[in-house]
Amino acid sequence: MTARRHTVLLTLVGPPLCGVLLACMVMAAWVGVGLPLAKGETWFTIQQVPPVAGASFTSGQPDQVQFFLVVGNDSRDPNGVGLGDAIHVIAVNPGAKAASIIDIPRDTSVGGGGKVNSILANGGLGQFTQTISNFVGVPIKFSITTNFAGFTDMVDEFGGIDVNVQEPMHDQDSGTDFDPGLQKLNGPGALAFSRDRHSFSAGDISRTANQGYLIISALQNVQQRAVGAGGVLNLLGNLGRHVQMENVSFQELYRLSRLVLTIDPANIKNVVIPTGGGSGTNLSPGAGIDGLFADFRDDGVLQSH
Amino acid sequence: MQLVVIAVAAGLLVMAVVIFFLARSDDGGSSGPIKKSVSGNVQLTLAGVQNANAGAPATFGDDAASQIMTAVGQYVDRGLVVPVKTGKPATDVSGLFDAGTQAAIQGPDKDVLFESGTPALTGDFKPAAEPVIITALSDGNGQFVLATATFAYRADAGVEGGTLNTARTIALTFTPENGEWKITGYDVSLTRQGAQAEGSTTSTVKK
Repeated sequence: MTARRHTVLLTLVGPPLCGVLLACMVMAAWVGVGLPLAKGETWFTIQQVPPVAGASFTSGQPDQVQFFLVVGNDSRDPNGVGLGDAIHVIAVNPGAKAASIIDIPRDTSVGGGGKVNSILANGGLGQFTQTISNFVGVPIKFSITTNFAGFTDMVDEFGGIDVNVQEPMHDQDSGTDFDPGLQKLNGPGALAFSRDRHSFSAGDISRTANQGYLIISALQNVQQRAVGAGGVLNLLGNLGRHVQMENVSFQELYRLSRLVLTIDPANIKNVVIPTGGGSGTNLSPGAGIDGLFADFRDDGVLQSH
Repeated sequence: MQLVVIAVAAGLLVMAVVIFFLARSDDGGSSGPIKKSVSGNVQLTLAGVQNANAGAPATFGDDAASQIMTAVGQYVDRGLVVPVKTGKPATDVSGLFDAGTQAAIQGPDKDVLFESGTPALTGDFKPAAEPVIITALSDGNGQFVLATATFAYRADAGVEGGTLNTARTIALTFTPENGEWKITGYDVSLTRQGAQAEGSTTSTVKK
């Protein structure tokens, strides 16, 4: 009698109970994974929105390796172009978010001729760019140069550059008077930092490396100040007032600037080319330079240097 | 009688002068479109223009500033306000952007750049914006080639469970394309707090 009552109960209650359980499982699945119902309508949704998010984009940013040339010249005339005394080929690899700087000492003899720095004064920025492009073996897209007044004004208008000075620099000729440690350099100070070769046993090689290091420090300063998109335009205005440019528009500079500002300075290598003895004070390209240039040329990132 | 006529005439004259000056202060003369709100939904005005000159000093013109402000207003209305009011994705916004930006605004950036996926409104919707600052860059020839409009936007939306607060800091960079200023780059950061923001204690399953 008891067993029969259980059977009747199961017969009556079982199917509806299973149906309810099945419906609950299906609904749970819909809620959990957001499966749409027929006709594309969502029956159950959990509507929560992410608390923070960001989006940043610049149209036309380069996606290939970019090579460009930055040259400091020694003209004291605010409108003049003198000897190319600070020569730096910069490569930016957008995919790797990395960059490299090849520093070329001013006394380097290129192609068996005299010092490379005179080509800027005698042939102009176009010829100088072509010479450096042939020497390094990379297609230099554009180049910029600035003189003493342009450089100091540019740094002062930027508000100075914080630089971590590695070694004592006390040199009357260039005007340095820096102890090791973090220093805020104004325009004349940054120029002195770039010109000092007497404070180092390696002379001009250390000076040339310092110039590349100053470029990286400047980038770090811009990143730390978080200038934003409008601030980048102000920086480009500052740059434009104090440099001569070849083969580049401000739109292109803006796109490149936005890209460079995403690169961690730790991912930028700064290498002075190897040099050997030459005639007089000339420096001839040294052993291993072909390997350095090949490493630089392939993707703009120095893997083995 | 004459005194009454003179008094009435003088009164009318004073009223006319007051109305004239009030109207002037509303419209702002020739730069009216810049001083008036460019949005139908939010008080969105121009705070000022900073000229970044790469060459000789040049001033960004009122017409160009007005064009950019109009585009900013359309971006806010179509991209941020209307989607919340209608519950539908932003429409008619692609024309504000240049050709190189079209793919990006359809990608993952879409949900940050434009309002989308927010819960349905069950209460008030109060959008607001800070005045816009334009920074414009002229090249060595004095031609303006880039301009960035920077502003902050926030909205309080009554949704199930309370109020959802949304805040965006927005920088839209424009460049001339076929005679029109188009958005060629953007930086938008988005913060949400309150009801139905992930991580908050309220959540709702809606049917």
